Amino acid sequence: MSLLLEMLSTTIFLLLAFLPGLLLALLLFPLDEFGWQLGVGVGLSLVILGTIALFLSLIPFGNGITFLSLVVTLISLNSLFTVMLWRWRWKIIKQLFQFAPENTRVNIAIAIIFLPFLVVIPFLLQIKRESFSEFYIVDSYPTPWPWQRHVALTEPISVTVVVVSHELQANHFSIKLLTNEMVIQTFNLGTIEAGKTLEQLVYIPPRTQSAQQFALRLYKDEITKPYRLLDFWLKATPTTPTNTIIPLLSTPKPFATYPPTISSTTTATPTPIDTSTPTPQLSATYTISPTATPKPTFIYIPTPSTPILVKLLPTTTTSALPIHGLFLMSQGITVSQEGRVLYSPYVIPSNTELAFSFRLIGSGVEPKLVGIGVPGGLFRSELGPYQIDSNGKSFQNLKLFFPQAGTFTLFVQIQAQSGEWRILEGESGEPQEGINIVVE
Amino acid sequence: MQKIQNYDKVLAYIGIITGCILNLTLFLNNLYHPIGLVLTIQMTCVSYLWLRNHLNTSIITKPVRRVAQKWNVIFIVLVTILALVTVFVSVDSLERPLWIFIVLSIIPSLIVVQYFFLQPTENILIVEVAVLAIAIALSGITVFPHNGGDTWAHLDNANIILKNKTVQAILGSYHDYPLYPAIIAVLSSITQIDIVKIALFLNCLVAILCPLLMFYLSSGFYKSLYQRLILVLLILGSKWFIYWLMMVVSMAVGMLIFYLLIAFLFHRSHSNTFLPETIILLLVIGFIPFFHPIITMAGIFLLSSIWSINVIFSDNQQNITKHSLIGLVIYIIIVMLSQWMYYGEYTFFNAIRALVMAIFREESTIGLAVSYRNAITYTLDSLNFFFLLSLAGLEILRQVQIKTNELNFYTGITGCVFLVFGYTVQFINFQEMLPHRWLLFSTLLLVFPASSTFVQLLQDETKTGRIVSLILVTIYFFTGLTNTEANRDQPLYDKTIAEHYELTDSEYMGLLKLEEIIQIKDVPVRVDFRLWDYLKLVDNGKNQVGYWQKMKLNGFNGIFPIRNVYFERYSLIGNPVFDTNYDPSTISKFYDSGDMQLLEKTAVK
Repeated sequence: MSLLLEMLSTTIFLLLAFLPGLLLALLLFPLDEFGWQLGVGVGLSLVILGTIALFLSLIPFGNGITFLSLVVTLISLNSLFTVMLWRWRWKIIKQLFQFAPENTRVNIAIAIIFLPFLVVIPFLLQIKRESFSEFYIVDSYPTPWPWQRHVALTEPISVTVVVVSHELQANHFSIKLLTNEMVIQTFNLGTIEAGKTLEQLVYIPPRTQSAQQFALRLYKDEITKPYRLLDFWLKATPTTPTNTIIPLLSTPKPFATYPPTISSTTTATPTPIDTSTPTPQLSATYTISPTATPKPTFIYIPTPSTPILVKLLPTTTTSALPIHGLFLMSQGITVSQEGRVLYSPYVIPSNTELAFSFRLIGSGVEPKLVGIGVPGGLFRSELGPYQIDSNGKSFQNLKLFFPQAGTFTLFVQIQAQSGEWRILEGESGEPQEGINIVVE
Repeated sequence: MQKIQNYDKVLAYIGIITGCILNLTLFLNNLYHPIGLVLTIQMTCVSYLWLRNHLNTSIITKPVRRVAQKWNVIFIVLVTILALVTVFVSVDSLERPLWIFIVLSIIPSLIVVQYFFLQPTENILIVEVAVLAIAIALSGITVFPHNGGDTWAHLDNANIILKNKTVQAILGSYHDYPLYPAIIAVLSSITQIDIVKIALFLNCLVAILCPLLMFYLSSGFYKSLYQRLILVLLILGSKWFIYWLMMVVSMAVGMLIFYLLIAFLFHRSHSNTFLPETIILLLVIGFIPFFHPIITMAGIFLLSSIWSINVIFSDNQQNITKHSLIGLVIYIIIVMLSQWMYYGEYTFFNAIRALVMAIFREESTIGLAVSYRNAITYTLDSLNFFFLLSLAGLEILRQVQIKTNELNFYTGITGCVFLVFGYTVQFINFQEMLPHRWLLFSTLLLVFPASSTFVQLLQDETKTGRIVSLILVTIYFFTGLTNTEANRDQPLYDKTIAEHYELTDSEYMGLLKLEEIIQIKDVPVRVDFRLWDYLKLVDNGKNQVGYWQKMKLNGFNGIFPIRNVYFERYSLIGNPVFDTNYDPSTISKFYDSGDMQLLEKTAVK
């Protein structure tokens, strides 16, 4: 009903706009064919509308080009021309309503076809219009925007992101916050109607790197590929807790790029191809088979492959000695499963692989290997060798496979040049607490 | 009489000989692009000498037979369905499939077939032509991407008018001729319809009204309905008409205004009345200086050409009243100059500067007039226009001889004046005079004599004539629709031009958002060149907005990922301030609408 009323009002106002020219054409060309009068009339209407716009803009009084001023002017003009037509061309008006009977049926048939054609066209344009959603950062706390300044690693930061739906229908949206390619928060935005806007406050956790990329990914419906992508870099203040200036990373991880292919705009943004160079030494997976010999075996697997099972001997021993000059940074160990960050307590089913990330800082210490695992070397994922300086170094995606039930306390450890494995202390010299993994 | 008969032959021989000399000169100087035009003129002259007697046979007017009208209704339904399909497939498509152009070329043939066999009434033909006109206009203008370039500028200007309630709020050169965006704004304000839709509606209106006006104007000059039908089809299928309908620009309405001038000028030559046309001519002429300077110039050319022809060929039997014509020429010049000097801020200065630069240009202007297309593509692109020119040329030569149809005579010669001017400014690279527009006006005039030749050579009562007519109409439309100049999606070539200059809805939306952000926050923003071209206007001299000159997208999650053109945009080098040997760690991206992702180069080092 409202659509019909809208169409009716639009038609009336269109008639109001085009009537002056038509009336003028009838007035000046009374003897010509109606087609000629129509063509001239509509053309003249455009001239008259432009002249009215110019007139309303240039007169020193009035409110300029407004709906009211336009309607009043057009009604005045139409009234004037109608009176003139009535006075001088009355016969012409009567002739307009006299149809030749032999053509009437054909004309009605034409109207039945042509008018729906005109009505359908706007709907066609509407149906096929481009659909998309906007995704942007509207605000941040504190201001100015954190990527325009240095921010302390522990400074609390939040950004407000906005999703504006210009889709053709209601869609379900969710946002994920990632850093170092790991999801650290997920926000379920629910269903957003077409044309609606939704704001979401996102807290940014303390940073672990001097220049750290955070990525916000918008997901639409059940599509697993990100629909919209926002990235920002946060840079640490030059003075760190250790009073050391942290320069930008010399080789920052590049963004992803899109393949140069053409796709329809109605589909989601294509999945980026990650061009970041994988670091094989960070992808080792160690597994221990319960049926293997009791003597621990360490197998280096540079790329993910079929897990090799060795016997898993859980232990809670923490007998290692502290190492001065190399520390585990305060944010500790991040645990993730299939790219999703887990939070303590870590309770997982058996036959699960977990990835561990942490950051070390030190001064000139060269461990042979860095690893995470159960003290005693029975169950450990390790990498190396490394030179770790005061800028620190991040270790990501050290993976461990947990094939059977049990409780495992894992520590970040290093192997000294002497071959001895030791557990690292925290930044302030405190003993490392380790993390408990409960495998059910 | 003998002397007059010799004129056409002499002109034809001159055309052949001059053509030979010109072609030889062009070939020796490695200027291959104009050869097609010269060859067309030569061939026209040769054909005229060959067909001279045949052209003088009168056009047979077919007696009206009554055929069951239900078949006509079926044809209308068929045409309407095909038109709807072409529009539906074209809207927001990145690239129209080739079959769309084939279908759009078949529709006019269907109309001609219907005319041949079913004797439709005038109303039926007009409605079918209107449906075809809407299909051509919408199919071209709604092709993805939708916004951008001049289209975008006009929509933005219309928005500015709505926002500020005055045409004087428009900045830049369009401040001087604001009436096109003003018409869009006024219609949008009255009907409360979105500006974009009003702009599309205006283009459709122009596409319908131009052939409609000429159809009824020609009824006073052409007795054959077939000729009037061919006339409107020649208008609709011409590449320049299609070209100017595919954008939201003032020239679209400019075509209608130009045809209004022609309509009133020639209407008064065969009607008994004089005052109504003169009143309207004065109204329209007073209006056009605020519309576009080129349309004003075209008006001056049109009126003065017709007056000159009248003076030169006057035999006291011409109906065009020459004294009032020169009065109108003087009136339009006075109005135009007054508008330029007392209202305009840019046009007068720019016109004078361009003229001075053209006169005192030191380097070779011929060397500058190089087309970006190769000579073969350029010639293929012009086939549609050459066909029209060739047909018109035959009738012009004939009318020089016999002067039996004043509409053909005047429009033919005036069309040639526009043609010569258009090619001259193109040849000397006087781009400020916008050569494409003069070729459009030339086309709008040449369709009249061309329709006469077409109908005379291919009489609708003969079987051969009918078959050849159908083939020619189809080819004419196909070449008009698919040439590289009249397509934003460039189906047979590539879509680089559209990608370079136009915006999708999401990009446009992003741009508005960015404009808002710039005005609220002091954010340094780096965007694509075409966005910068627009956003610099809202920058207010703060140098907030810059553009990436070199966009090395490989290895970077760059903006506009779906467009190939951004992977090869290395042409904007020159300003070291914005040269981007960027470090990804210094860039943040804070807006994403799909096609458009806005980046900020962070201030932190």
